Amino acid sequence: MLELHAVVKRYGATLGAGPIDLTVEPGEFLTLLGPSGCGKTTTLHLIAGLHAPDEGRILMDGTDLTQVPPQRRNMGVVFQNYALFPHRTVTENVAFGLRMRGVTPTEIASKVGRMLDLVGLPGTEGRLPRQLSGGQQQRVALARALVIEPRVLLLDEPLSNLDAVLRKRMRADLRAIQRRLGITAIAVTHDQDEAFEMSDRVALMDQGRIEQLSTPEGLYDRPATRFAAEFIGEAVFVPGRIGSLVGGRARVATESGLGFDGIPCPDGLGVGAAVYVLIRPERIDLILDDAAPAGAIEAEIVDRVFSGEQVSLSLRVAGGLVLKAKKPSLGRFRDLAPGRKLRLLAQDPRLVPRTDGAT
Amino acid sequence: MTETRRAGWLFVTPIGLLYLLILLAPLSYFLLLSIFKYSAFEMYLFEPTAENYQRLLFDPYYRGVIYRTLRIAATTTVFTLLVAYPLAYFLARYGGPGRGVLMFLVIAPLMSGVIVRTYGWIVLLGAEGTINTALIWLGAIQRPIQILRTEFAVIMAMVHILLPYMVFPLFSAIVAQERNLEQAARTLGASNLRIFLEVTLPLSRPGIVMGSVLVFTLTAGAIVTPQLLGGKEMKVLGILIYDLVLTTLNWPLASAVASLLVLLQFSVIVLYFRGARGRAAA
Ligand SMILES: Nc1ncnc2c1ncn2[C@@H]1O[C@H](COP(=O)(O)OP(=O)(O)O)[C@@H](O)[C@H]1O
Ligand SMILES: [Mg+2]
Repeated sequence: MLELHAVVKRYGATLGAGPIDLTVEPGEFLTLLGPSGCGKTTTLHLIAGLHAPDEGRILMDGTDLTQVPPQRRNMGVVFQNYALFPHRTVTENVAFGLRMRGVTPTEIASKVGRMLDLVGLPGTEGRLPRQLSGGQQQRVALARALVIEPRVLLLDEPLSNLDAVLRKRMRADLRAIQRRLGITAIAVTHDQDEAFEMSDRVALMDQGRIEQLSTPEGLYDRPATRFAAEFIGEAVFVPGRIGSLVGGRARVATESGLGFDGIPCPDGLGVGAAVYVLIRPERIDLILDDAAPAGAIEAEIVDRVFSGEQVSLSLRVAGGLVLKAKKPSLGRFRDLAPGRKLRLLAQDPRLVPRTDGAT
Repeated sequence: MTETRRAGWLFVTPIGLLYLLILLAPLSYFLLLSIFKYSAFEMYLFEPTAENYQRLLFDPYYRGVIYRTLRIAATTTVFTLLVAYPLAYFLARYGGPGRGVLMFLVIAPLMSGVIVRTYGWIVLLGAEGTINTALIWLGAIQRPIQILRTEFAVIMAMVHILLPYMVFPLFSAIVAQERNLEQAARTLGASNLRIFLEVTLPLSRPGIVMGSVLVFTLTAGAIVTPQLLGGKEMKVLGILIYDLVLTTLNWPLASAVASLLVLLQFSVIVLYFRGARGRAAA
């Protein structure tokens, strides 16, 4: 188990990351997700020991690592640009860490061979990094980090230099290799899909801190802040106030005059609290016939964008508010045109606290 | 031929012609001259002979000069490398203020001529020079020691004079290295020494090769500094050519010496670059 306790790293006057509290379970795949410059790389380098924290402590299975230099931490790092030794062959690159540990040549040969098989690179042994494709270089970097049997595998934007097709495949491969070895892994990415597809848990970061730490489902369903809700998936935020609370469920009156009832209320919000009602486009039901279920709202289609597998509709409702709906590209949805009047039902609306300018 | 290739040739042509004129013409001239017979009255006779080369290679005096030249050039190269590497490493890695000033200090010697810098060394190394005066004052020695007119003095001055030619190729090679190669090596368990020996140093090879070739060939062909600091007895190939051309007026022999010098320099260049390429591809 890896623990970070109130870890802070500053570069002179600028905050690199922190304060960060984080616990990573053995065998877990955790991803640090966040916009560029939010401190993901810094956090990873703190764990690897490449930076010393200005404050806080880092523990591995109960022992304090804070003062342990990187060469004795036994962390496997895959750098964003791979950082392969350009003057060394694939075999020599992968063998490097084993040689530093004084492993015998025969053992090195067998371990390197097995690792190259595992990452799917047989036949490239004698080649130099510049003679490999980006995807192959990535696999060499992974093999080099894994062959030392590290306590934690650290991956900095591991897939960002690959083309889209390769990236998709590597996500699955990376996850499969991590599961097979049962190794604890921490990856860094700014790509939400990547984070969600690979990880057991995702730590959403902003301005050096962890904004929310949760399973992908938890992060998607229960974003704690507007930042989290915006970064993950698409959403429309309707400002309003909690009117009443019954059994943890809120009735909310929005400024545009819409009312929502029975929304699960997050802890810490009471009657009168300023909130956003969060509505996800893919969770809007369109009612195309005459049925009028409870809570249905009158709407008019004002815009339509067709993108192949789905249609995105902009829907104006009472008070001039525009909601978005995403629908699969089925006949009855793709033929909807601007001007059409219908009713909609916002499923699973969520509340996030509203702190900007409202009291 | 594509447009860009044609444009490329256009750019290269003037330089090429210049090279032909100032390099190949004199080169062929003294290559030819070196196989003519020396004559005290007519300078040379149109009689092909190997005797100039024979004299050069088998006469102990000339052999001594060849050995001395190679020894001084090789020693100077090694010491320049040893002094320049830490300097270049620091310049490449030190990001703080004052780096520009340091760079300037390294280039500055190039702005004064070789003669000025050599005279500087005479002032330092002479019998009444700074070093001897200081050593006597400190009580380390009773009488001035002989520093001028030794190979040591020549090498020390050459190291100083040629330092920029070594520092800058090294600097470029070190600056071009990805910093996180060292970080990667560190996370893989390498100590600082191992990182230097296995990553930083091998990746500096192009700079080491380029700098060494420059310093070696420049030292091997040097005249002024060996002349002024080495004294009358310390002949090197450059001085030998100078004497033969201007004093002895034996141009055929002078041409043979010149051909040999060019051959030596050329072989060093070829060997070095071949070695560098061989290792990189291995
Ligand atoms: N070596 C450095 N010197 C100064 N500031 C840095 C350095 N490295 C990162 N930073 C700053 O620290 C913050 C976090 O950077 P980083 O961890 O690289 O972010 P991310 O990896 O999430 O893009 C950024 O504001 C960045 O500008
Ligand atoms: Mg980064």
